[in-house]
Amino acid sequence: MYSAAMVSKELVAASTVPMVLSILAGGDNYGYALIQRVRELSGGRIEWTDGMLYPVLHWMEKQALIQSEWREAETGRKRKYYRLRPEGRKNLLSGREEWLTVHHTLSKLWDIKPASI
Amino acid sequence: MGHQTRFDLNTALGRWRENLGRSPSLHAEELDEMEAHLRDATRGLTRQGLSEEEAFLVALRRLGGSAVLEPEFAKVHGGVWPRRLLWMLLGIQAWSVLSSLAGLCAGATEGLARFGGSELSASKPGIADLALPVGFYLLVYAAALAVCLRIGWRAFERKGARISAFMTRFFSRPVLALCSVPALLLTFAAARQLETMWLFHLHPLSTAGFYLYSQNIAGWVLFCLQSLGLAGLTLLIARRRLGIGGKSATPTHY
Repeated sequence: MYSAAMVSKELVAASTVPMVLSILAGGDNYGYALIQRVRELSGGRIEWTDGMLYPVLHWMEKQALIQSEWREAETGRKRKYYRLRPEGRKNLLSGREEWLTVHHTLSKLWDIKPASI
Repeated sequence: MGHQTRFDLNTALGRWRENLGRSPSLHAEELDEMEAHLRDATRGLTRQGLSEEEAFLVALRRLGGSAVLEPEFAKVHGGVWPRRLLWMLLGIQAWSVLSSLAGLCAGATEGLARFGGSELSASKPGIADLALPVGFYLLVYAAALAVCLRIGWRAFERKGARISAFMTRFFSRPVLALCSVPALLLTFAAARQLETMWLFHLHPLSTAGFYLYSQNIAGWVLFCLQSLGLAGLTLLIARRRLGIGGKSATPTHY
């Protein structure tokens, strides 16, 4: 099942904030859906320990990158939705620059055509 | 095989909550959020063909146990004790204000009692004359203390996250936070002054105001220093240890 290598813990840790911010840039969302989305997009190669996302979300909220709100879900139960704040948008842009720099540099070193943005 | 009890998701979630809820670093709102997560995850996995019980066990495993979650949440909250200490300090300050109010009430009762008839023209009021205001004062004092403790405890247990969010917003504006210190001091000072005027004028028996009696400058300085110290300590803990209004440590695991 895991023929492709899983992304290392350290890299997963470093990329969590920009990933959450990027998903929220596309619309408000809740914890479980964020985890599902990353699992799906990475083909299962980025595996988050589900519970560990929540402290990160709360930390991001404290840093005023995102804000949260309880809303009623279609199941009738409540879910905590997160929304991007202006500070988060700024953070996303600078984070994007950094990741692209790493990506471009490695691509050149490995002689791979960098993926277009 | 002995008969097996049917799996009930709500019971299982209740047990999970009870277990994790014992940890002081996890707040009720976080448990609510993770409970919603477990419900979603369980539903998602049953759609893939697992029984509800199997799905719940897998979801639980993916979420991680208290050994994994606790330290990460504690990191975000800056530990339990600074938080407790903050609530205690806030409680002490609220108590101080309420006790002053209680003193005022007692003074007012005595004033009314005096005004209303029983002429205390004698220069020294007797024990019987003091019994009503002092008794009333003690009663209100005790009630105020009890109410403060109860509210403080409830706030810590239940609404911690929401109050923290409010305080984050409050302390993220340094001007507002700075203004709150003199405002707090003024409120205390005004309450104490009124209390002193009302109460000690009539009977010098009650409250901690022995040293505040009439124009005792040293007492005032002491009182202001004490209030300033308390307010400063509260602010310091809020900013440094809890990261309210400042930068806090990133959870390392992610």
